[in-house]
Amino acid sequence: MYYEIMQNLFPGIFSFFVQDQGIVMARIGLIIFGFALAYLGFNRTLEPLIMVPMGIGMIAINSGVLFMKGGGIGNIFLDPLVSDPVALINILQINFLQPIYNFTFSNGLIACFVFFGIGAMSDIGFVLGRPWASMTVALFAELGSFATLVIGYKMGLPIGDAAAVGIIGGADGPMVLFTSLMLAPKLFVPISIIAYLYLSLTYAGYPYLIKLMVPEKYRGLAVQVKHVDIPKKQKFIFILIMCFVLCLLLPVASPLIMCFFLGVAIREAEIKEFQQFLDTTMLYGSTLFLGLLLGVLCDAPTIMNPEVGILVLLGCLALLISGIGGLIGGWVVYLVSKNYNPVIGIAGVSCVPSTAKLAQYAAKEANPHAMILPLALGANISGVIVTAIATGVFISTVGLVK
Amino acid sequence: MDIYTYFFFSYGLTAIIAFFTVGIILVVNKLMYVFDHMTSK
Repeated sequence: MYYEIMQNLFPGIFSFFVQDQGIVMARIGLIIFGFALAYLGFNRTLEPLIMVPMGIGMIAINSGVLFMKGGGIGNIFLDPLVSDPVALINILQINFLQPIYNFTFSNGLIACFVFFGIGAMSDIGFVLGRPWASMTVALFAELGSFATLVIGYKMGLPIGDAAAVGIIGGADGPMVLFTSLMLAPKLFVPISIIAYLYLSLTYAGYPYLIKLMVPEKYRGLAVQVKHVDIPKKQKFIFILIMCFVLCLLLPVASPLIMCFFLGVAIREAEIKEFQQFLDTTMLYGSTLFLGLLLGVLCDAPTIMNPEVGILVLLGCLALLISGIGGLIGGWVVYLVSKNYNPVIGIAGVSCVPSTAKLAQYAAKEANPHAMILPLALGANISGVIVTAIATGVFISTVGLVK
Repeated sequence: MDIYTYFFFSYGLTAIIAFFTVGIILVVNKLMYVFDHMTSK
């Protein structure tokens, strides 16, 4: 009787004694991992905007376990796998994060919200400064997506799943969410978790990759940045044309393309009220809930799924190949034009503005006077555009593989 | 289409669309420059 009272009083603790050993070990491991992520976010080793809410979400979901009516073990955060409409309506009234998950996350809306904000932060003028160089670097930095598609397929994944995990190489979280929803809905949860987790973890590894592939002499190359003063009217018309062309060519990726360019257009049109809303409230609000939901999705049974192991490996590989590809692209542009720093190649991997900042840090470390940020941001924004194109190409043509 | 052919096809198509977009931007840039130049005279 006392045992039952204690079990009802402290279900989180007692669940450790009744669950399968493997799940218990995974829960303990994930709680420790959550602490590590939150702390590494706090001290800025990893991206704090995602890692702090994600780490806390991981701790909470793996410790806040209770005994449900009917004898099962679960939580009152959310159930990502519920699909029956009646069960969903019931569960929406119980799990506090379920409405946010179903109405913003699992339909890709949150990805569009993040893209509004990214657009509102992006100055298209950086792309227009050196458009061919930026686009070339961004294309090289997309290598991981295409190579991982082949590797995943050869490892036995269905082609849609291989494409969804491959797009992690584009290093663009919203794009990964969108592709996995379109091509591999059943892998949506693990792919999203891995994409954001490895995005942040790999950025911790990219500085070493830069040092490995670019000698110090070249890392510190000062680039003469020709200041091109592009009138706002001109930039605005570019945005409209790019939005039109890309939506016309890639209708499947048009929601994301539209959100991105609408954000950029609002910035260039100087609609301050909208811009402030997009690049502060909407972007940071969406990022907070994105991080929290990703953390909460990291419960032990999901992570213990055997398919997750292969996805972890492929996600990591995709980002590594993209980083290598980007730096090769940087070298190619340097060898062709000379007035380029090969380190900018890493910024073709398109997480705005993290990889551009990484490139600038690496250059500044080698030469305190090296200023490559404007070109790196150009490559960064081109990376977003190329990843959107690759997403559209995958979604529209992946069925051609027999 | 086998997977290796698809690799080159999809990568090539992405590159064509990306460079096509840049090309359009530059053409429009030139046209706008000419237009501005003409209207300012």
